[in-house]
Amino acid sequence: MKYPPALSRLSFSWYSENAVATVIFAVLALLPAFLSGYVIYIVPQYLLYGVLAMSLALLWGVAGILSFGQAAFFALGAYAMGLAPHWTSSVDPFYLALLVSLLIGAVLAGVVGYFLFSAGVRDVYFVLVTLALSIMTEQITVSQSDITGGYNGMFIPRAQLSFGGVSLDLSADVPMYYTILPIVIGIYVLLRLVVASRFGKVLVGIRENEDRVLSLGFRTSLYKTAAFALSGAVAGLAGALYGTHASFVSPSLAGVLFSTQVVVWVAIGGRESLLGALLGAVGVAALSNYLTAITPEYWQLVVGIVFVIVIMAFRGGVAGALIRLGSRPPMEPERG
Amino acid sequence: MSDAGTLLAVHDLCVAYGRSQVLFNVGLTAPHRGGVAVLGRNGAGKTTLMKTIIGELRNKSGSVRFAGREITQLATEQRVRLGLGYVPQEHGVFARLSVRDNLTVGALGGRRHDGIERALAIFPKLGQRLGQTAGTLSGGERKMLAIGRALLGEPKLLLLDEPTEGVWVGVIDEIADRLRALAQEIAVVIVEQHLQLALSVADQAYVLDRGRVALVGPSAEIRDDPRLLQYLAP
Repeated sequence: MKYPPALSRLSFSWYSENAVATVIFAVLALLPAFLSGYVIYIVPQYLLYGVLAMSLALLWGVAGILSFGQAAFFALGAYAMGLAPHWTSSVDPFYLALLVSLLIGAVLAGVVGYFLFSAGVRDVYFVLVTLALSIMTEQITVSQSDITGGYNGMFIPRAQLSFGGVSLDLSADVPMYYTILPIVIGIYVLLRLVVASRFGKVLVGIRENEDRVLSLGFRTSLYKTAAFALSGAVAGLAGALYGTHASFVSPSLAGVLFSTQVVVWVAIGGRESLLGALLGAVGVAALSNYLTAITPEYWQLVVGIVFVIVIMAFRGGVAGALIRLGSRPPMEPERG
Repeated sequence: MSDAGTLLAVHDLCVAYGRSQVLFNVGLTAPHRGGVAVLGRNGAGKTTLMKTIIGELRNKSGSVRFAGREITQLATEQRVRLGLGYVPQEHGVFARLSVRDNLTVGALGGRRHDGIERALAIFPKLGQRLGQTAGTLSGGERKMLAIGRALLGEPKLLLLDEPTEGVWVGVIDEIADRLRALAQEIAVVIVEQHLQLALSVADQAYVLDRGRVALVGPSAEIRDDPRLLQYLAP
């Protein structure tokens, strides 16, 4: 039997988000033709923050699991990019770093998630453990200064890509821009497909009512572990790309402050929309950068006020408010 | 009832919330087909019994056997995979998912590819609501969706906790008809305040009073038992 297209609020937001994302990515693809200099340098960095935010949106917005540990995976990915040239001379260290960052994020999140979720750790207790994960990662990067450079951080040369006989120098901003943008788009599309898949629907069910999903026969701990592992892998990959883009990584990248910033980006952008999370990160990071230049003493206060206003006015973030605005009003339940 | 004809066997079940004991040595059996009603006033322990059988609550002592297997220590999802289905009293559907997505999630736990069609055959009204978010359904439609979704797991025994609570009286008969038909195919254990409905679905009835089984017997005998009203009166 073929069913008619869904008319629900969720499906409305699905199609409208696809349309908005297409326009935004098209504009981003054309940006270097019209702009140059600092904008073309900094936009890829904001987009990588956006990928980090999407990794949290997958976990928090889709599965209902809030994590303060995403910065840890991001930092480990960046350190992997910095350390990869020391590990091999036979394989291109850029590709090796990408692979290692994916694996380290997935494995660390998978192992931590498996034990926590299997033990029934939920809600605020999970938040606390992931917060501890960030703190531990920061402390380890400080204490292992022989490898990581400690508080001084680590310089990472920009990568030289090679495909067969062709090489691409990413030290210039435009090649770097056009290397990162397709990866960001690819990750966005991949995560959208995951959310729309049956796996994604089970995750939404877990967010809505985990006991009901259990009573349908699902081992929810495995689904949550898989979501956390995927989220860790995406955050790790974003971190590796950030490392080569920023050419520097320091322990603060894994710290509590940065972890909290990620949560703020997603809360402002809208945790139930991957695009909302992406744009939330880009918007807040750009605003913070601008405010740092014009009011270095008070920029955090301004960002804090924006955060409070958005959360008070729109609990689902800006994207949640736009989806509700664009949707038909909810139908009144009929009698019976 | 012989063991060979018993699908579910609950023995001496004791359950407590902290220090407050709610069930005291409760016993209950259900055959492979047919209905079993669990009656009692509010607070008698009916929902606690259902949640303990499905594994959402742990018992202090006693045992639950299903299809000849001890399941007392199994997790909820393992019990469901063995053939138990559960429709809770409240929050039975994923309110922010569409009807279709609710059924899709339910079908993932089942083994049949035609699961959703089967649920729509039992409750055709859901077919007109596939794209609608479940939170906007009427009370009766939500119950139909919750029951239909539970059936997608192909349970051998379905636990129903107050399937007509919050349902308009005009829809209660429709749900009752489906439950009576269902009880011809599988085992149905129904907790219900609507006495006539429960006894029309069930061949056997248990009456709980303050966590203990006060009456047990064929539905026809329970219906005529003069003590029934005493145990059901508020």
